[in-house]
Amino acid sequence: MAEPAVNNTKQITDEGIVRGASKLTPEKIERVINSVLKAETGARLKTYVDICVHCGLCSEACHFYLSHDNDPRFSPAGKVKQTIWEILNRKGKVDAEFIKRAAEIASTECNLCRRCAMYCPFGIDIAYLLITMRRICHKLGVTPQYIQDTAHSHSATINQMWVKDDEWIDSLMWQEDEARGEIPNLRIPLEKEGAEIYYSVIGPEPKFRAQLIYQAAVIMNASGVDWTMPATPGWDNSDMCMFTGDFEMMARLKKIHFESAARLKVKKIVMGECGHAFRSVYDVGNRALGWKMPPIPVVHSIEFFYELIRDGKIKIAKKYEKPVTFNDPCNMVRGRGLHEMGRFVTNATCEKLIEMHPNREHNYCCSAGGGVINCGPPYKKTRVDGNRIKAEQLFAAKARGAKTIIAPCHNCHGGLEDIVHHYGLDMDIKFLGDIIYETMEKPE
Amino acid sequence: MFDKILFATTASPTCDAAANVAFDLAGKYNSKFSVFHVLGLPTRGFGHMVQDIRTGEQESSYDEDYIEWVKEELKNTYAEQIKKAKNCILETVSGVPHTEILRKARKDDVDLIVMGAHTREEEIGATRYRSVVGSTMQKVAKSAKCPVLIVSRPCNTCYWYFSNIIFGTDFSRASNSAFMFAYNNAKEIGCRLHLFHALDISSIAAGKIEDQQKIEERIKEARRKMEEMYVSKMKGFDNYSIEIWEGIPYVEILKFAREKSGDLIVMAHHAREIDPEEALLGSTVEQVVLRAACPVASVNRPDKVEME
Repeated sequence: MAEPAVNNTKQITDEGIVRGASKLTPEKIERVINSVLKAETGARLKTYVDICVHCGLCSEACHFYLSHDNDPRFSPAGKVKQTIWEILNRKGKVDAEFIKRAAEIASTECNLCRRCAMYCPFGIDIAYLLITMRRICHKLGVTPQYIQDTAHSHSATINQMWVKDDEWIDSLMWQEDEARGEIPNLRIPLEKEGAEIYYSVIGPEPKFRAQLIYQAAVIMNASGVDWTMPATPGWDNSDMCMFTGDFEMMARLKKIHFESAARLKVKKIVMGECGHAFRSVYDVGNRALGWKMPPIPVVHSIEFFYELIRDGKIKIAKKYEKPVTFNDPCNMVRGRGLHEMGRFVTNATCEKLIEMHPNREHNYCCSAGGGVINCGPPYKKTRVDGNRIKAEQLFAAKARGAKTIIAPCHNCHGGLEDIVHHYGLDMDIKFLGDIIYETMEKPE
Repeated sequence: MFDKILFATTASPTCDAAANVAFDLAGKYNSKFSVFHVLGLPTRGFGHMVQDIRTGEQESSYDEDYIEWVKEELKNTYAEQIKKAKNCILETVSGVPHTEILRKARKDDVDLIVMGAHTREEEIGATRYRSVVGSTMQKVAKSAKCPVLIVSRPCNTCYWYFSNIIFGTDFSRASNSAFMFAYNNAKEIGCRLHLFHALDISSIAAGKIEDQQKIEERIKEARRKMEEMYVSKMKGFDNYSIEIWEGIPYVEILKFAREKSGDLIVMAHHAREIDPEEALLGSTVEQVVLRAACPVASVNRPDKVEME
């Protein structure tokens, strides 16, 4: 007798989703869904849904689909079909079980990387459809626990990591102190009104990765730019509320960020190597506030480094020797087209760049972005298994000699680390800032 | 001599030798004493999961209970020593080890950090956080404002019974601070201070031959510098010797320490090697630490070694 096929996939239990869903009633679900659809979506959603011809061209754009042997449940259109479409068809009359599954799909099985939008013959922004689903889930109180905790930190402290105000200032003074051991007259200027550049980072930097602030200070100092960092909340440019669908809080965060820069009367904001923060400051958050473009020009580190090297403000003493490959982060490449600048910096600082394929705007997502890595441990397997294709892509680059992956984005770092580890690829991962710091000429 | 001592430990056997020295010192000098353990690396989602530094396992239940449990382990590991210690505080945090150690040292304004040398455990950190080059010890020694005492092998003599302190210099600015530390200790303990410099002639390996006369000139010059930079600062202290050897610096220092039965080697671990001619000791410290039979103190900054 043949054994029946058994589905051994372990069910993930996420407290945030389970407990949130346990409080739902069919009436509440219907009311919330319809209020979001009516008040917030408008023509954009309607157009996207109406013009999709179900051609399936988006499928092969998705790393989840490719990594799951072309399982249609993981295709972008498939994910929309399991979430937003169904809701529209049923006019909001869905049950709590449906919402639980929809929350999981929208928050952990899609990185909002927008690769699929490029393959859609009509240019439908599928990420928008899924983030609308997250928005509904947020309003229903059904959001994965870990990312919700981060969002709580945002609303309580205006930063991602529960960093206290004095802790922030002290971390900067500490890094200044340390860097002065290397460059005696180095400064991290706090609250300098009228500075050219306002440098902002993400919460985890002062909390865990203080070295990145050190490196940035050395680079700023060596290039002789006029810069400052704020001593008040607003210093953290990251934004997990954008990914939980808490758009009110997202707007509040961006408002405080822009206001702290405006108060210092700076010419522009330069931000560290973070992808989602760039999306929030340059694209989504500012628009939620009614600014088509950011009220103060925003420059991502990739572009900033490009300018420094192009203008000869940073000189490279000795190039990085190991062959590198460049991982294009979605938010700066598909979102802003900084891929050639990234390559310019890489070529200026490294001996050899070996491209991975596909690359540039066609690069696969790291599977950590879009808040997925922030949904925490329960979904690590979802994320790593869902990106086998990335491992294959990296392995091919490694086979051609690449030893180090340059990833100018925090989430890419985290995601690639897990992939490199899980699939046993044994490659280093570095930020552009790491490489520049390592290879640059430093002032006496 | 040391009002506040920070003992940074992995709580594994590799830190046992360092633990003995640290507890001894704290007891003898009645210091405020913290046993500090970085218990895990936070995940990249920066959620509440850590990779345990000791086991390398992912701990998904990183919470108060887990911290308490690690603290309990720490207490058991050092049970004997803690019984005798008076002002001992145990503390555990999660983070990148060297960052957290430096953060703590700065916060408490400690006078001395005691730690072990390389361990397997730290390498897990280096692998996970690829941008962290090298080991925790290296990073801490480079950036700490206070002296860092690195103990990698069991130390049989009590600190205050030391009879030979070796000060290795490359005549850099950082070496001045290392000298002050070595001198203050020799004076306090009442032991002999050996001022030592090794002329680097490793360029010979590259086929560049220096003639004997030139080498001797350089030795003479080094001796003059010793007198000028260090001897002039020692007031009424005559229990010292000056020695200049030539060779590869770390090998020569080790040979010298062995010959003199050195109890402690003091060197500067430069924050930055400005000119390789001037600052040879950066990488030398690491080599010495790995191979020396006695503790090695790395001193880079003047902050905690000013004359009293």
